[in-house]
Amino acid sequence: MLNRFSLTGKNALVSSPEYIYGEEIVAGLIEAGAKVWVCGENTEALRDLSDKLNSAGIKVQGIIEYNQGKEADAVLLAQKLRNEIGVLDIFIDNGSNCLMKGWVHTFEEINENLQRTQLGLMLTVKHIGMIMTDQGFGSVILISDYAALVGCDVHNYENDPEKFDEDFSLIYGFVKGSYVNYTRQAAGFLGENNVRCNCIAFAPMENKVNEGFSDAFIKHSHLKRLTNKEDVKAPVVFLASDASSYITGVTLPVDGGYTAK
Amino acid sequence: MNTLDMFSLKNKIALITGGRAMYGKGCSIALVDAGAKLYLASHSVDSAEDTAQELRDRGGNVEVVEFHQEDPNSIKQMVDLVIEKEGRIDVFVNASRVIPKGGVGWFQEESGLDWSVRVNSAGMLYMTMLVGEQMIRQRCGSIVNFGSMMGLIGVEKRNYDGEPRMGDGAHSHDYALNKSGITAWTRHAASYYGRYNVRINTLCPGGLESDRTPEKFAENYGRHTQLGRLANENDIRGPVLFLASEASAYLTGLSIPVDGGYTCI
Repeated sequence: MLNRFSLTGKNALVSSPEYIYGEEIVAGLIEAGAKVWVCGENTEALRDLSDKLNSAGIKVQGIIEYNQGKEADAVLLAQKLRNEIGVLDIFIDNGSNCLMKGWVHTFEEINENLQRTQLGLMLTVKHIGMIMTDQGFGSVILISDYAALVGCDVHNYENDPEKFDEDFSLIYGFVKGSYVNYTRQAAGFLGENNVRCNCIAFAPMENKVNEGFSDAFIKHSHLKRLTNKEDVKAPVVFLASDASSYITGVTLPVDGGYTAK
Repeated sequence: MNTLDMFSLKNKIALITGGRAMYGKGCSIALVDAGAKLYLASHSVDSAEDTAQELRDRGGNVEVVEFHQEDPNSIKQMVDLVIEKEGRIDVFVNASRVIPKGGVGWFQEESGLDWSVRVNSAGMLYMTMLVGEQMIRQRCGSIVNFGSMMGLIGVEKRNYDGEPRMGDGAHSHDYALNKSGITAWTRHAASYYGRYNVRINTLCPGGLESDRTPEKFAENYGRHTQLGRLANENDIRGPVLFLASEASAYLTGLSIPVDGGYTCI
């Protein structure tokens, strides 16, 4: 049974792993046996991440420069993947964590931020999906957070105005939540070709938020703690692996029960 | 207060975008019938004037305002105009959207998707943010967004049996992404605005029957709902008035399916 969780012999691509959860996602996939490539526009940050993991004995296969937001770039990425990697078993998008702060913005600020998190996502999933439907197999995983399932609670931020500004970005809930039904929609198209699409809604990571917010959040969660590194790795490996071969269109909350109440 | 008076919009100022046709027109009718003064904002002034005249003929107090949701200056001018004239906006119904061209279904192209993100996502958020700022100043207001039942669930392919072209189109990227975002954003915004006594909710209607709806699709779709039919324009009137009025004073952050029971199974 345990070998169904193994990713040995599988190739994976992780987009925008330099943001929160990304390091754990890449490490988890590699620890489970996958060969992992990373892509994104900030190649310096990708190189730093890759070096960090490599020095811990976790080898990243390669870095692919990719500016998410233009169809021509998505086509180029797909060509590169077909030519250089061949088979792509797993694709993980971690780009929803690149968001602006604050509620009040100009139209152009809003539109510019949505280019990457909305337009870029659609174009990337479209072309990656075409690779996988041609293959007849694959697993797409979109990374979101608990705001996809419930609104952020202003009361959790009473002792953390800086984080309030970050999480009460005008577009935060919109982008995070847009992934939930997009996952179902993509699952509907991809499913006939044995390609799955799922989403994970993580709670905030421990050590990444300050005490004020952390205490308030934990008070409202069932397991009385924030997300740790292992909490990120295992669900990603599960949804990437054959252990979840009959699961598609799902948003899996990994949040200690925060959204279960 | 008499219970039925809680649904009244007498002396209220309402602003609607996309209120000239289809579901939007149903909303406009409900708002004026309930007594609101209605600003009907549209990119298509002539057509909006026709709707406005119909609304006036049934006793409505209606003004048409031209605006273009892809243009931030136009959006701001539209919102500012209502505030300048009335000093307040009590109800905002956010019912406009564009259908992108270029590529069908999964094969939608960048130009169409870019247009959809600009108008349906960025424009919608910017517009609601501006109205929300006014409602915060007032310390009251009700915002009603338009989501969709297709923001709550995925595609049922059997609905398109006998209508393959419609079926291809059903796999579009932007609609599910946008409508799903609206539902989640409604919860998020409800938390932000709640402190100021501003409410925000979303209606998630099902498929609307028109004279262009293929018979086979109507039959397939109807079988998937619990009420056995597609929606008509009148089905939205009651729900929008409920959310717009004081009758829903303790409701915020909700996305309510108005779909004949499509999403309940």
